This record gives sequence, C-alpha cells and structure tokens, in this order.
Amino acid sequence: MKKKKKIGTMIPAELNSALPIIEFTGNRNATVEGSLGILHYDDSVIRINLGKMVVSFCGRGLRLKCISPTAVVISGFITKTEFTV
Amino acid sequence: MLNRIIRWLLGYVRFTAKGKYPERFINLLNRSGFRYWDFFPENGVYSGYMSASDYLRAYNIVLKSGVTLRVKKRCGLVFKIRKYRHRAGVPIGLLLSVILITILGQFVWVITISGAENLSLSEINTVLGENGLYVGAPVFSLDIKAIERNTQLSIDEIRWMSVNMRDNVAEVEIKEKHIKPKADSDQSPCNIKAGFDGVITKITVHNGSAEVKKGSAVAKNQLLVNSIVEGAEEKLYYMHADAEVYADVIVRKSFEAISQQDVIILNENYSNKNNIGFLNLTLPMGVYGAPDEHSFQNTYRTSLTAFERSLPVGIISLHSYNAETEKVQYTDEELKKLLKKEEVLFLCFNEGKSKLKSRSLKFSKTSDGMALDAEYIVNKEIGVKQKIKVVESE
Repeated sequence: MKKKKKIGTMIPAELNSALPIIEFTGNRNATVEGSLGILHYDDSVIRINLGKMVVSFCGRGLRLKCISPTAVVISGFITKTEFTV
Repeated sequence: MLNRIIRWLLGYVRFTAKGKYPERFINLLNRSGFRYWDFFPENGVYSGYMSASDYLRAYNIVLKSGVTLRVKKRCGLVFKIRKYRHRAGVPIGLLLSVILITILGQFVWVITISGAENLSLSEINTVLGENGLYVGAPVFSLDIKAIERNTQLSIDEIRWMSVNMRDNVAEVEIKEKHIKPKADSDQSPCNIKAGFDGVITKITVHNGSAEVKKGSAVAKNQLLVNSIVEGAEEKLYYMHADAEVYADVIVRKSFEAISQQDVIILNENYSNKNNIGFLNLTLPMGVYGAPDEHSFQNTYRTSLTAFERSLPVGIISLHSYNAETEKVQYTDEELKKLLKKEEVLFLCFNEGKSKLKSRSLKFSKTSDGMALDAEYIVNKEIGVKQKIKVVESE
C-alpha cells in the first residue's frame, strides 16, 4: 500500500520553516523577512529582532529604506552581519 | 509618481524624533500601520516624513516611546489651502470662477467660417443663426446635422459643409460649388439688330448672314445679321443668329449743377457709446441719448483674448459722427469740379465696357448754376437679338 505524502513535505524547506529569510544584493541592500521589531537603529548598526535570534548589520550610512510589520529593507554599505542566538 | 501626487494632495510633514528609544517609536509606528518614509538618523536626531493625518494620531505612540517630535516642514495641498483660511475672498473667488467657467462652457463663444471665397460671411452667419448656431447659443441644444443640412438647403452655392464644435468655438468649414457658366440654350430663330446708331468697325458672324459690313453706317433697329439663310435648292432656313458687332457710337449726356445747394457736412461733434458685449447680449456702460437726425455711425467690436482664443466678452464701441445741413454757395470752379466728377462717374458706370475713342466737354452757365454737355465717341457692341416668329402657312 502506497503511503500518501504529506502536503508539508511538498513545499520547499526554506519556505516551510519558521526561520526568517534574509536576502542580500551585494553588500548594498538586505531584505529581512520575519522581523518582529527594530532593536537598535543608527547609521553604523541596525539590529533586528527575528524571534529566535537577533541579526545585526554593521556598516556605514545604513538606513531603513522600507519598513513593514514583518519585513525590513536595509540599504547602505554593509560590512558585517552577525547573528545572536 | 502617483504615490508622490497622492502624498502631496493629502499633505505630509517632515519631522524630527529625539529621545532615548527611537527604535521603540519605529516599532510602534509599524504595528499601528502609520505611513512614514525616509526615516534615518543624522547627528543623533532621527528625521523622516509622515502623512499629516498620521502625524496627528501619533500622540499616544510619542508618549509610550518617550521621544519628542518636532515638525520641520509642512508640505502638500492641505497646508497650501490653510494659508488662505482667513481670507474668504479667495475660496469664494475660486468657487465663482469654477461656476462661471462651467456656465460659460455651455455656450458658443465664437463662430469661425473657413472656405467661403465668394459667399458673403454675413449671409452665412445669418443663415446659421436662423438654424440655431449663433454666438451665445447653448451648446447642448445644437443639432449639428440639422444645422448643416438646413444651411446647405438655404444657400445653394454651398457644395459641402461641416460644423465642428471645438470646446466653445464652432468651426464652420465650407466648400463652394463650382457654378457652370450658363450656356445659351435658346436656339429659337432670331435676328440681330442695331441697339444704337453708329459706324460698324468689326463684325464677326457665328450664325446667320451679315446684312452690313465693316464701315457701314447703321441706324438704331437696323437689321445687322439675318436669321434667314438660303440653302441648297433655294430653300430657306431659319436659324438663331449669333454675331459680335462692334461700332463707333456717339453718346451725348448733359449734367447740371446748382450753385447754391443744401449739403450735409460732418461737424466736430462726435460721441462714443461703449457697451459690454457678453455672448449675444449687449449691455450699455452708461446712459446715452438717441442719435441725431443726421449722424453716421461706425461699430467696432473688441473681444478679449486668452491664449490666442477669443473670449465671449468684449467691448462694442459705437462711434457717432454728427452732421448738419448747410447751405453752400459754390464758385464756378467748384461747380466745374463737381460736374467733372459726375461725368466721370457716368462714364465708369454706363460705358465701363466700351472703348473710349474721343471725348469733348462743354461747360455753359445756366440761370441757377452750370451745365456740362459731354459728347463721347465710344466703340462698343451694338448687336441686340430680336426673336422672330415663324408661321407655316399651307
């Protein structure tokens, strides 16, 4: 007898998981999906709360280009990204 | 671009936020769905833009986050209009202008006619007016098809016409008919007789047989070209005689002028009557009396124009030049001049088509003035067609 596949297994793991999605365009732009809030914001460091972890972007001239309740777009010259779990 | 226009229409402010926890302020704004943009730190102070309506709602968030907000700049239509809130005239003027434009937009302002080369513009305007197209006519009541059809029916010379309404300007385009020259269709038998006494200088017969030749002296009503032509076997044919007969004709004319005459002369008095022309209405700008018995009037219409377009408002000026009757005593020289003028006018209007060969003028004094006896020799066409009746007898 064939086993039926669960629907969950048909969706890619990246989308299925509860983990946040971070997308970089070089080191000039970063899009963070799954943000729960901004913890720190100045032009050299931006720290974003992702629930299970905190991601920090370090660099120069950092700006929050666009903010929505669940996503953040960061622009500027990113030199370092740090995860605090 | 659309986003920017919407923001400008709704109004927005540039603000600065200063405090211990600006991040908390951002998070609270996000959760509450506030519209703000370009929020960035600069020398320890955060600045950004927020829609005017959201800025007014942000009071609770400011209290919770402990930041201090300051408005740096107000932008948008809402703030532009607010400047004039104490000036009642501005919104009233705006409202009135909108109403005026809306009302005036319902009427024909100008009628332009193109393509009329031989037709009279005033005649076309009159016919258009009779059919409902005139300055001031309501645009919504115009039946363009009916106007075109009726105008074409009224004026035969119009081959094609079209009326196009461009905003408040009625553009009338006309194509005129090419009228065929009338052919002489009458082919009934006729002779050609002399209309004047004279000496024939040229005779060209197209139809019929010539009874005179070049150099013949002819009297009035004398037969010049006969319609009866003899054919083969001594048969007679009647035809429509056609010929060009030119002759030297003596024309005599007398003119008289009285030395003491009543003449209407313009005096120095004149008056200007200005009226406001609005659509097809004429509104006087003052109280004016009735014109004098002897007065000459000229009317000028000046229309306001904006962006090379005539507006339905203008000034109609009526210039009245007053005249009075005076008794004038002419000298002999003046009388001669008057008579000569009269004589020239006679020549122009009566013998305009003739070729003047000689002219002699003789002035003579009469009991109350002067007389001029003029004698001319003119070369002109003297042939006159005269129909003949042919009755066949058994």
